Amino acid sequence: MNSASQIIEVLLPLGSGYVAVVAVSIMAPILVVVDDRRLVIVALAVLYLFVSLLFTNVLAPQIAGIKLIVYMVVWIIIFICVQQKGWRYGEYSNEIGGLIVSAKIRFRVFAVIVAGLVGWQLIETGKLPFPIVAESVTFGATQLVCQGLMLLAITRQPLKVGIGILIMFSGFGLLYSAVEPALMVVGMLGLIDIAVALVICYLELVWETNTNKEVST
Amino acid sequence: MSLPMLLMTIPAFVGVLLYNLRRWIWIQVTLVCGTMLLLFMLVQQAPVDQLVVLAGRDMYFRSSWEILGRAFVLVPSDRSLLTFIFISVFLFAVSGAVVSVTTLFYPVVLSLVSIIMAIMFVHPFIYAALFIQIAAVACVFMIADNVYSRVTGALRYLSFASIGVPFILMAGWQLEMYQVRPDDNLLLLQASWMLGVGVLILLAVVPFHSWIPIVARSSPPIVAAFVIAVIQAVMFFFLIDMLVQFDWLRNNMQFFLALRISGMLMIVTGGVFVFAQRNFGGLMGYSALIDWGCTLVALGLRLPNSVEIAAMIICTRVIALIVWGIGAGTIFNNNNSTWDVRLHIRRNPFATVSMIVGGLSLAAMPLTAGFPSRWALLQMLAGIYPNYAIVLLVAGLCAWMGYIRVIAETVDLTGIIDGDMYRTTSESRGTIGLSVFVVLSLIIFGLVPQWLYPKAASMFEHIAMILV
Repeated sequence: MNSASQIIEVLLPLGSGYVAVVAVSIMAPILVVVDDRRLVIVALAVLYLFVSLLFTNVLAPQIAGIKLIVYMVVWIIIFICVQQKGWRYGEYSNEIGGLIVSAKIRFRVFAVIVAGLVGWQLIETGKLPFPIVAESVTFGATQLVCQGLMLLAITRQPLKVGIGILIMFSGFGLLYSAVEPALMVVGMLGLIDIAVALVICYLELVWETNTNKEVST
Repeated sequence: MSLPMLLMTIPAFVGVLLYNLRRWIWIQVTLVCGTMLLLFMLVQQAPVDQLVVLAGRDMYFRSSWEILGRAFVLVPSDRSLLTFIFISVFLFAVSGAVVSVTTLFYPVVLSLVSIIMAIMFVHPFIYAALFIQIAAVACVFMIADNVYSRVTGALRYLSFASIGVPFILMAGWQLEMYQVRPDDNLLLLQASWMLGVGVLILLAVVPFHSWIPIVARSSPPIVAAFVIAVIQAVMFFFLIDMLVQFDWLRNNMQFFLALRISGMLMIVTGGVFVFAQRNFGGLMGYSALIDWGCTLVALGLRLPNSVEIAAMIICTRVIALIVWGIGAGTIFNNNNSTWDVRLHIRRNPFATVSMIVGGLSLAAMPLTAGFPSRWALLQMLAGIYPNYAIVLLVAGLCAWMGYIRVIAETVDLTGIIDGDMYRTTSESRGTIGLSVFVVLSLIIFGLVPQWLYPKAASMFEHIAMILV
């Protein structure tokens, strides 16, 4: 934990403010739009790194270090799951070929924009029932919540649904930690993140069995 | 020794043991049933906060357990609710032994018992929300596995639980703020909204209900029945606990109006969709949705009698779903496709009768256990809200029609009436005996509901006394 908080302290000047918010605001839409698992895994790692940095605005660096450790564990679980299952979706892939963008991607881009606007408006209208610590942090948090909910709504793949839940929880955690910074709550939320990651990997592997059966028959 | 600690740790430890014994189903069943009996005895007999002599030793069972600054407290009203949970788990464990369940069913059920007790005991209540999320995660492990690998229901269930929990956490924070600023009624209003929205999402109110029919269709029948009957009942107990704890919530008429409207939405949606179902899983799912809607409407009436009716509905739902689960589980044993459903039904006539009677009880057919409480609610609604009563009646009729339609499509009734099916059955004597026993029990409880009613009503008597 000591080393995690040291990592946080080293990275803190680099981007706990607007840099982190921009990074989060780019990575969350990538997770919603893209199905390529290599890109998803990289985007999730970057997102979690900058979310951990954002946590330093609402929590002490030592406790933000706990968050970093939790996110590292979650990321490792998801990485191992993807490695077990394979890096490609096969029939579900919707790669961009040349300049032709599939209807699915276009729809997702539109959905991401709508979710982003909703998140932005939540701050602008001041309708959030939370105290605003820093506008940039709250903006990042609402973006995470809205994009996470959008991901939950538009995908059927267990891994992506799970990532949607995890993104939503990380955004909610940013907002909630400002009002409830107790170590017990942070720990419980971290435990829930890990539990969700585990169950999603379980479903992903079970789901793989199902798709394999369909292919073999 | 702390009684809550004892109650919560025993099933957790046995659950870990069961995980290592998951190949031997009867050992698992025996251990689960033994654990439930032990917990039942402890809850019923253990004297709390008194010094007693047990086997020559002085014993003192404390009613609370403090850990990391949080308290797990067993209050007297929890005893009847825990009794309901233990008996239900006992019955589901026995039923699970005769039909197909997922690999992790028994270890997860025991861990869920621990988590359920944590939800009921923990103070302050915001931590209950965190335990609810953990319970939802645990449920997923038993809803799907390699055999029952359609994961959509599990994913929806997990997603909706994950959406509901943050609302309850926010409500908890606003209530803490209200204690600091008691003049700020806006905080109380926001807390009511957050709590209401969170609990209603967890209770699968429309439009957050879609996981119920999917789980009913694609999971092992006993597991689906367990989640719909017991886990959802725990969410309802959580709501009751909130109402007992907070008098401002109890006196908020709009909150009860929201409960009634939500319940009616569930009834209407269930009634509309149940008619279009083409398999018994879907029928069960939407019938359960109507039944849960009735429970919410009964609570929303905010009358002592209506709360007791809600308790009766919850109890009869458990019995009906166990009977349905035994029947459906026997018919669709390890077979999650319905391409040859007619063949399976022809081979298992007794299980078919069990499934149909259980389903019809859930749809509140007369002469079954589900009917008396539905009838009592209908009579109560007819006096206060006649429109609601008409809608409920129509929804119930739709459920009956749905069953008649699916039975006509899938069951060879002439074979059942002639007796040909019974002579050529492939069912074992044990399955036949169990099917006959559970069906008779369901009918007896339908004919003599007063045997069950006082025990069911005792579950919510603490709230019935204060709802005047």
